[in-house]
Amino acid sequence: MTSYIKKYFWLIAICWPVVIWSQDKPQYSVLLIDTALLKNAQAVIRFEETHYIIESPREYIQQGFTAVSIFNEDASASYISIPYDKYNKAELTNIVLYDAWGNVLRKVKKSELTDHARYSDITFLSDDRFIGFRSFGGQLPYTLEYEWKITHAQTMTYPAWRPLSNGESVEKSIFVLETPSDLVVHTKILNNAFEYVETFREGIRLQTWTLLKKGALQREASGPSAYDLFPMLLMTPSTFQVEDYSGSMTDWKSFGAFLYTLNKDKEKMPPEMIDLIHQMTAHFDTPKEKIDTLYHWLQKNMRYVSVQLGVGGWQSFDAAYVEKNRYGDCKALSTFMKGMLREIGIESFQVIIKWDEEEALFADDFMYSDFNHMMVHIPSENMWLECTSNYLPTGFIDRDEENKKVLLITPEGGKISRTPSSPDSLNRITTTDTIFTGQPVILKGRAEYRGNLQRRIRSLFYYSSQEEQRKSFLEHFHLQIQKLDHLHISSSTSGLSSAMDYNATLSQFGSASGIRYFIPVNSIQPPRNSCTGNTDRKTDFISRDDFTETNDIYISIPPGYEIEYLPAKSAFEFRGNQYAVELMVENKFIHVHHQVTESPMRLTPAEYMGLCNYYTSVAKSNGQMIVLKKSKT
Amino acid sequence: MRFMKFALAVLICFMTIIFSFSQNTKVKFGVVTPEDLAMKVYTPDTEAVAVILAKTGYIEYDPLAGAYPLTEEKHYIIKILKEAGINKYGNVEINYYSYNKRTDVSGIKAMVHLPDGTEIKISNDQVFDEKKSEFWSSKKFAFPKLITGAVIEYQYTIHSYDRFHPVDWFFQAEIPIVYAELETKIPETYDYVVLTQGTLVDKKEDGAKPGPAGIKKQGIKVYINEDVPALKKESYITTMEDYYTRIRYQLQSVQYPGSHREQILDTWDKLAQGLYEIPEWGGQFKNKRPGELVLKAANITPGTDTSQMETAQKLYDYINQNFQWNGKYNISTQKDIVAILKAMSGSSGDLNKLMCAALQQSGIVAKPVLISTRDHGKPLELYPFTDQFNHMAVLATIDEKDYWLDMGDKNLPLGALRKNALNTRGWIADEKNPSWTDIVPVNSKSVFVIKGSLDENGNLNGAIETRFTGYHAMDKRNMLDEKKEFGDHLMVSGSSPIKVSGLEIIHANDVSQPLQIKANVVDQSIGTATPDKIYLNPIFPEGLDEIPFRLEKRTYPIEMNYPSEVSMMLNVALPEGYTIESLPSPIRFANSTGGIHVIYDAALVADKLNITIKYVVKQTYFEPEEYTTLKSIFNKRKEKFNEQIVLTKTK
Repeated sequence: MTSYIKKYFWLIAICWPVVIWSQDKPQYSVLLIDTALLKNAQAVIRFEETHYIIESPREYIQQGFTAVSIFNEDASASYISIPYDKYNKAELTNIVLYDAWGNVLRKVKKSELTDHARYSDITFLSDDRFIGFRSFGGQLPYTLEYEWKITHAQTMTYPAWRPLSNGESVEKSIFVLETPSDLVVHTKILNNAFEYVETFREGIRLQTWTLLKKGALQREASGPSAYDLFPMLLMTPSTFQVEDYSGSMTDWKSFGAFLYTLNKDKEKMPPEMIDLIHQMTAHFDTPKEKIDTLYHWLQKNMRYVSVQLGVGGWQSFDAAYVEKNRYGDCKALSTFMKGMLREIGIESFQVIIKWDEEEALFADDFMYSDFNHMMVHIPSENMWLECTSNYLPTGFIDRDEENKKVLLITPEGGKISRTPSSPDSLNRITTTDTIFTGQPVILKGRAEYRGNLQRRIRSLFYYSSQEEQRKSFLEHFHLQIQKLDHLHISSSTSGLSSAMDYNATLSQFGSASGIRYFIPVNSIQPPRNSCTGNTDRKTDFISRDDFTETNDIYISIPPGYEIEYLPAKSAFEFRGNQYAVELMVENKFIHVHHQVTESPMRLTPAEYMGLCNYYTSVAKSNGQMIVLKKSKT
Repeated sequence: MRFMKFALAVLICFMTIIFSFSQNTKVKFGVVTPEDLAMKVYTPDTEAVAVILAKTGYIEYDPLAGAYPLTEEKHYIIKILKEAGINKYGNVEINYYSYNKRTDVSGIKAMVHLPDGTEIKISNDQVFDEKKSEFWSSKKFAFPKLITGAVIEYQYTIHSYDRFHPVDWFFQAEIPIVYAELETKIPETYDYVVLTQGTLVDKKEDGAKPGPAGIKKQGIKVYINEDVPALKKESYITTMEDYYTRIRYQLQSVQYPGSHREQILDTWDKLAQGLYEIPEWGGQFKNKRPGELVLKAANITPGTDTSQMETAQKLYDYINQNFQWNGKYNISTQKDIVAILKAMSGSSGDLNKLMCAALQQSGIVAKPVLISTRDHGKPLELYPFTDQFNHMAVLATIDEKDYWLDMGDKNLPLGALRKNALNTRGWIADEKNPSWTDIVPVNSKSVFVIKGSLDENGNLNGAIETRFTGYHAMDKRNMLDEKKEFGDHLMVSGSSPIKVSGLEIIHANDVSQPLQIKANVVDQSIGTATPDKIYLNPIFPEGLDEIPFRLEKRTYPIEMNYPSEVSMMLNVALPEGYTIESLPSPIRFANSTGGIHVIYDAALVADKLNITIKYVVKQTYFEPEEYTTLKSIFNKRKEKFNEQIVLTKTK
C-alpha cells in the first residue's frame, strides 16, 4: 500500500493540485535527498515532469511541473523564466515555497511575477519575452514548486528537453512526448542516461523518457560544451507550419529548402539600386573585383542593427527595406549582398552558422537548429562574406566563424559545408621593442598581428578615436608609460596584417638596487597562460588557440653597468605548445628572443596536469631576472 | 570632508550657466546650418566621435493640465563625426515609466540630415514601443541611411505626473556639447530650490549676467551652457552624474491663490517627523510589536544574553541566514515588518528595518540611517528631501560602541556597510534629533606571514599564514563561495602559481572573525639561482605590483571606496654556505598628505632573512591634480618590490 502511494503520489500531486497546494509536503524534506546528489549541487530537482503535447504540425503545448530544492541562493533554478513570443502564450502558475522539511512557507501571488522583454547586448528589437519569478525562500535550503505551460499556435522547432543543468542534480525527471500516431517527431539523445517507455492509446503515441538519480555536473572554464556533457533529448518535427509557410525538417536538405522558400526573392533589388550596381561594377573585368566593389559599398553604406521580428527570427527583411533604412540584421544584410551579386550574375548562397568560440551541435543525420548567424558564400570564387562587418577585408571572416560546419541555403535545399580557417602558419604575433635605459627610459616598439589574430587591432583601427586607441594601449600595455609620445595603428586593406607602432617615455623600467640593476626577462609580453587555479579538473580541457608569437626585446645596457647574470637559454614543449627564450648580448644591447606556439588541443584532466607543469616551467623561466652590476672601474 | 570642497566648487561654478529671460530657444527642429553639415572635425575636440550640436529642453508644470501636469520636451541634434559615432548614437531608446500610465511619450519626431543636404524623416511605423517590464517601457528607433558626417535629430515630449522634482538636467555628456539649453515654466504657486553642479567656464559673450547659486525664481527661467567638453567615465568614481554639469529642482513650497504658503521642503527635523508618521516606516520603530516579531522569529529573548553584542550578533546571523536581499535598494517606506517577514526577502532598506526595529526592542540604541549609494550619487546635505536617498542602514550603540549594520550579504561582517554604501555621509533619521554622520568604513587588512627555509635552487619550503579582515575578508569569502579557482589561488603572488599542501581555512563561514588561511609552501620558487648566487624576490601578496592608474591625466576627482592595508612579514633561513651580499635599502614613501604609504624593510636577523612590506591606504579622495603623484607612488612601489636580494655562495 505504501509503495502504491509512493508510486502514484506524483501523479496525485499533479492531478489534484487544488487539494494539495496548501498542504505541507514532507516528501520535499531535504533530509530525504541521497547525499551523493548533494555533492557540488546548487540545487536538486526533486521531481520534474515535462509534457510536449503535439496536436498538429502547427499546434503544440509544452507544460511542466517542477519541484526543486535550492541550496545556493544564486542557483539558476531559483529563478523561473518561461519564454514566449508573439506565436505563443505562456503561463506560470501555482508557485509554492516550502522550507527544508517540506512545510509550506508561502504561496506566490500572480502579482509577484514579472513580464520582461528579453534583453541582450546586441539585439535592438525582438519579439522574445519571458515571464519570470525570482524565488526567495529565506533560510537555505528551501524547495520551490511550480507549474508552467506554453501554448504554441505555430511550430518550427521544438525546444530540447534538458533535465540536467549546470550545478544541479536530479532525483527524478520525466519527459512525455505525446503525438498523434501518424505524426513523426524525430528524436536524438545526447549523453544518454534515460529510461525509455513507449505506449499507444487511441491514436496517440506516448513516449516517456525518465532520468533518475543523476549527480550534479559542473561546466568548467575551457571545458566541453553543454551538448558534450549533459543528458539531453532533442526533437525535430517532420513537418511544421509557421504563418503561411510549411516545411519539413526530416533532413538538412529539406530544412534548407524551407529557409530558401521563406526568403525567396527577398533579395530583389529596388530599381534605384540596379543602376548603381551596374555603374559601380561596369569597368571591372573579373568577378573578384566586382565582388570587392559591391562588398565595400555594403560596408560603407549599411550598418548592423539587430531587429529580430517575425517567423521565429528566420525571415529576412527584403532588399527594398534594407535600402530604405540602410541598416539591417545579419539576415537582412546577407540578403541584400546576395541581391547585389545576383544583379551582376554571380550566384551566392546564404549560410547559417553558429558564430561562437564553440562548435555548433550539428549532426549530419539529425536536424537541430543551433545557429545564431547568417553570412554569404560565393561558390564560384569559394569566397565567404561576413555582411555585418564594416571593415573586414573582402573574403575574410571572423576568427570564431572559421572552420565551422555550416548549412548553405541553395535552391536545391540545404547543403552542409565548412568555412575555411587560417592556418597556424598565418596566425602570428610579432613584436619588436627597443628599450633605451637612461633618464628617462625610452621605448620604441612595433607589434604586428596576422591571420585571425587581428580582431582587436582592426576594431581599434576602424571603430576607435585616437583618444580611445591611446587609452586602450595604455591600459593593456604591460610597462608603465609616463607619456605615450606616438601611437600609430594600421590595418592593411589586403587583410594580411594589422600593426601598432609606438614610442613612449616609461615611468620606470626594471629596479635599481645598490650596485645592481634587475630587469625581468620579458615584461612586455609576459606569458598569458597559467595554471594558478583549478588543478582539480573534472572535465576535458579544450583550447582552440592556434598561433605563434615572437617577441624580440632589445635593452640597452646602461653605461657603467656590466652583465652579472643572463638567464640561460631554455625551451619547453607540451603537445605542440612550445616556449623558447634565448638571451644574447649584441653590441651594447641585451637581446631577448622569445617565442611561444599554441596549438589546438583537447586534454583529459590527467593530461591537463602536464599542461600545468609546462605553464609552471614557462612562468618560472620568465620570472627570472637579468642582473646588471655597476662596473668596478 | 574633502569632497565637500569639490561640491562647493561645483555650486560656485553655477556661473557657467547663464540666466536670461528669453522664451524662444534658438534651436528649431529640422534646421541644421550648412556649416554644421559640412563639419568634418569638431575643432575644440578633434577626437570626438560625435558632437551634440544642441541639447535643448522645455519643461512646463501646469497643475491644471489633468493627469499629466508636467510636460517635458527634449530635442537633440547630434553630428556624427566618426564611424564609432554611428553605432553609439544611431539607435535611440527613450525609456519611460509606463506603470499605470504614469508617464507617456508623444510627439516623437526624428530625422537625418545627410552631408549632401538630403533629409530623411522617420515615419511613425519606424518607431517601436517595447514594454520592458511591468514598470518601464521604451520607444525605440534606428536612424536610416546613417553615414559619417550626417546629422541626426530627434525630439519628443514626456508627460508625467511628477511635481516634486520636475527637473534633473545634464549640460554635459561623454561627447562634447556645443549648445545646451533648458527653459522651465513653472507657475508662481510653486517655489523650487535650484541645485546646480558644474566646473566649466562660461564662454558666452552676449552680456547676460550669471545668476547666483541656488537662487529661487518663479516663472520662466532659461539656462544655457555652451562649448561643454566631453567627460568620460574612468575608474574610481561614484557615478558620472556626480561630475557632469547638472541642474536639479526641488519643490520647496506651494502657495495656492488666496491661501497661505505651504512649505513642502522644510527642515531635516520636519522630514524626520514626516518619516515617523508613515506607518510602514516610523510605525515599525515607534510600535513595539514589529521589532518584537523579529526577535520572536529569531528566537531571542532580550536580556538573556551576557552582552549586547551577543544579542546583536545573533540577530545579525538570523536575518542574514533567513532573509535574502532581492538586489534592490530603497529606504523601505512601502512594506511593514509583517510583510517582510512573510516574504523572507526584501530590499536593502527592508532587511535593515528588521534589524533596526529588533535591536531597539532588545534594548540596544539603534537608529535608521538614510544613505545614497555610490552609484546613486552623492547626498546633498543642504537640501532636506528623502528621494536623494536610496538605501537605509543601521547605526547602533552596542556595549557602548557604535557599529554600522547593513543586512543582505552573508559575507559582510557586523560593523561594515556594503561597499556601494560607502558614500561620504549618511543621515541619521532620528525622530527628534536627526543629524548627519560620517560614513567610516571598517578596517580592511590583509596580513601574510611566511616562515621557512630557502634551498640552493631558490626554492622555499615552509609555512604561510594569512589573515584577512573587513572588505578583504569579504572578497576572499566570496571567492571561496564561488569555489572558482579555489585554494592555492588565494595565496598566489602575482601570476606565478604557488604549490601548497595542508591547506587549512579558519572561520570560512564565521564572518564575525577574521578569515585565516594556513598552508605549507612546497618547493616554491622565489628566486633565480645561478652557480654562485641566488637572486631573491619573495613578495607573496597578490596585486602589489599592479598599477591601477595608467592614463596620462585625469580631469575629475579619484574616489576610492575604502581604506585598506596589506602587509607581509617573511622570515626565512638561508641555504647553508650562502651569505647575503646585498639587500635592498629600507624605504618608506608616501604622498604629500601621507594618505598612502609604502614601507619596505629587509634585514638579516640571527642568520635569517627578514622582510617586512606594508602598503597602506588611508586617504580615499584625491583631487585630479594628485593623479600624477598617485601614479608615481604605484610605479615606485612596483620598482621597489621588484628589487632583488642577492645571496652569494661562500662554501
